[in-house]
Amino acid sequence: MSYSPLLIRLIDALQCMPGIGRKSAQRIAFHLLERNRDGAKEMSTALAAAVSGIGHCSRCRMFTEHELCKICSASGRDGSLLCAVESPADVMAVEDATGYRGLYFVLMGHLSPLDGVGPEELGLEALEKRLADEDVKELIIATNPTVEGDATAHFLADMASRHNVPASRIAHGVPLGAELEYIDGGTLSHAFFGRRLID
Amino acid sequence: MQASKRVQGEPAFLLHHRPFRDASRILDIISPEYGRLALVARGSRSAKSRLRGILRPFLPLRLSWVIRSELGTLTGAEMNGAPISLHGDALMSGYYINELLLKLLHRHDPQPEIFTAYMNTIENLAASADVAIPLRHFEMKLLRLLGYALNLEHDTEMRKPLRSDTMYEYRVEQGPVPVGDRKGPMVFSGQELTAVRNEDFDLPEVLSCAGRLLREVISFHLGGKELKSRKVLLELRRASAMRSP
Repeated sequence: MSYSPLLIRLIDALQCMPGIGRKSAQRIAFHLLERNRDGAKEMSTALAAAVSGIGHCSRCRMFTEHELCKICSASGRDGSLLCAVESPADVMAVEDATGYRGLYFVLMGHLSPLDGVGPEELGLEALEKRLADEDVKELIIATNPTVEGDATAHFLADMASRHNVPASRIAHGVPLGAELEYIDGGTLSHAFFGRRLID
Repeated sequence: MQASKRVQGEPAFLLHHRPFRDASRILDIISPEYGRLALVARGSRSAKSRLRGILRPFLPLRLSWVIRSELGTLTGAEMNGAPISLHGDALMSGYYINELLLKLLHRHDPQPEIFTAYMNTIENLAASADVAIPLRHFEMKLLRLLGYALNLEHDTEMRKPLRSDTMYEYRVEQGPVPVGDRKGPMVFSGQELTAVRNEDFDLPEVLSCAGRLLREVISFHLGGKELKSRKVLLELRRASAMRSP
């Protein structure tokens, strides 16, 4: 016994979402059909509009349906500061937490040699062009503190130095409010070697 | 159903990891007693996980896991000695040897000597100025331990020891074949082949011969699988060279 073709198609389609397997897809499909057909309609039009309308900002690679994203086109942002992050979610995180007023460059990933993700996939040519053409005073590298994030940061720093742009990396180590005793060895050793003078 | 097996505090290195479900990862690890295997690290990507700082490639680890079938479950991880940090070319070379192991080693095939060679190579990469030297030593050793050792002693036609002034073409499945004075990418003098056998990699010309020879042999044993880390390394080199003053 199997479901009707349309239902099978819906369940299969729902499984393209991250973390959604067969069981969850089935539950979502039944819920939408049974209890929320309006929501499902709205979702399908939103999805179709997003997929056909959203592209990347030509300057920072952020998702946007315009040529330039909101941040790049806003007046009053400081064009001399450029912050490189791995994902659009990181842009939002930095925006919300720091009051940073400069511009961004979204890599959409990190260097991952074993998965074949190299400089081309990260759009580094576009970043290099910005470092060359724009008057950037500091490149703030906010990649994640993973080995791949470190590799990406090193490469970006190299690139910045070729264009005589000072590069900085966001600090990482012991989380605020934590106790050293309970910090894992890797993080603590990183924090220890990255210590700085108190001024 | 097989009984589950519990392993405690086994030395290991993480070769590769990929996200799995919302907050977990699948790890590819190598250990001396259990060879290469895959483990699920549940919750290791979540904000509260204490394993995030530890489960990094190139870090000497002690891992504990339970395994019943193909895929095990990580139950504990701690550092095993001081962290080794690789940067730049050394880091890219580290990825390259990880990829070699991922593609050439079978799962669940214990190879304690390969583990030791890997560990020494990571340390040497961190310490040496020219990454090519530890890489070539590692490749020679890996091929030997996998049973793919190069034949650098006898020519395959006459079964005679190599003569230093004769030119040979190295054919991957056979070995050196005398070729007179024909040129080619895989043509070496007997002297060069002997020097590669002795691993005299401090001499730049021997190092470059070994590079040419090993690249061909390794790509043969990979059976057409492309090394992604190599492609990325070449792109990085090109990108750095492109606009440097």
